Amino acid sequence: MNDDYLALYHSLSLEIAFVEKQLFESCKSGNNFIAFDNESKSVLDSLVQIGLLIEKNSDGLELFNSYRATLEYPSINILYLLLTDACNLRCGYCYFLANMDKGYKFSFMKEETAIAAIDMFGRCIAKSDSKDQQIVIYGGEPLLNRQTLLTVLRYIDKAKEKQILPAHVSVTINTNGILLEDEIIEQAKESKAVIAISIDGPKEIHDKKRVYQSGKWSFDDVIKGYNLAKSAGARLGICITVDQHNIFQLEDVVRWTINELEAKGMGFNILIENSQNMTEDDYGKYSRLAAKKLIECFKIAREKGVYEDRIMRRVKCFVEKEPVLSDCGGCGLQIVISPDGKIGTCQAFCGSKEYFVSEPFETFEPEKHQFWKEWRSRSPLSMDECKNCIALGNCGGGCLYSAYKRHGTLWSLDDRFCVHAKTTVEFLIKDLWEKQNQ
Amino acid sequence: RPVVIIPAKSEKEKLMGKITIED
Repeated sequence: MNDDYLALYHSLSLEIAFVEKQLFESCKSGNNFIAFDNESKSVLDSLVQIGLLIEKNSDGLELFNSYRATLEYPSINILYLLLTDACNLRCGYCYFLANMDKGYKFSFMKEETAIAAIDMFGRCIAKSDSKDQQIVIYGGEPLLNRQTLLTVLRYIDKAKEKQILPAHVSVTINTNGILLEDEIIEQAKESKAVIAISIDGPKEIHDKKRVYQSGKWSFDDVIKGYNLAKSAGARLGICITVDQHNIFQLEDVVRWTINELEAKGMGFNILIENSQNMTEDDYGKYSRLAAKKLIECFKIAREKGVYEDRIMRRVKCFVEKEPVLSDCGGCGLQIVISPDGKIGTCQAFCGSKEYFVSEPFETFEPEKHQFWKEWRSRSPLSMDECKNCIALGNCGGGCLYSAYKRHGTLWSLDDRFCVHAKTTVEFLIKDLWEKQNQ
Repeated sequence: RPVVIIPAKSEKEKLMGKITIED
């Protein structure tokens, strides 16, 4: 940390201590630590107590093995309803459309499919201990399927009344905001749904990537929908995808989002594999710069009391000392329903239908299916290259789709996410040290 | 300063600035 102190950090228990270097080095004898007086004994005892040092006869793997054991059991807590795979925009970085072959036929989810999926989700979460469950209404652009969207929101309310779903299940609608109108906004308010709108920054930035198929800019239409929802008092979140159009001005984008949009919550999206064909060199540069910029933006947001989801996931587990075993609902924690009624692990595979199955909703048990079991077990705790990483308990393994598209297997690293996770943990340790000195 | 500092949870919560978990 400086010339006098070093940090000891346990990458899985997330315990941390700052220790005087001179004393620490004086106690060190090979791989062992030996006290030489009462003071050093007291220090070593305190480090043993929080697990940063272990007794000679212990292998120190108890915690690791106990977390590993939980990876054997999928537990469904999230339902993604892809109301359509069609979209009225053609954003330059879109991963979703990039995974579709030429001639791919878009489709729209029928109301009865959505209702049956919600019933299935109710049965799945009845088996879960978690009290934090979520339905995500997604696409494509879900507002293109207006009638099914309204039916879904109304049915969720009814399912809660009838105790098919617990009352605590939250609802998020991910939209580009263009088709927002009074009836949808009012129903979202009624259903206490968060409307998450993708806005990548002010017009001159947003319109570089988020355009209609014709190339026409979308910002003016998006902001109209955003303002309509905001003036109606809807609960809103902002999604910001970080790409070359905004990465260099990301701090300004955050200030604009807080000051001009008056956003109370936002989340950054790190790029997912898409059709932009980044070179290896650009890939590395993007990863490093995005990791740094996300931290700078978090510093701005925390001073304003605005929640930024991407970094706060890392901060929360660091503060609470509760490791994140997977950063992704796809890791055996969610079911995704495609517009044509197939059941999958991850929405990014909707185009190719890999990791999707055609099974009757009434009897399907995802927790017992090999796809969900494999995705659940895919965690940094199961990957040899992660075991000595500082971010082992803080990372969650990133995006399986990106790992798969980039390296051909789910069991590869999501390299961009590695850089983000490591950089963030190092920042948290240094920032905590600085706050100790204030 | 002490030879070992084990930050309390309240110290770590300062990392969140004005954000609360409820947010």
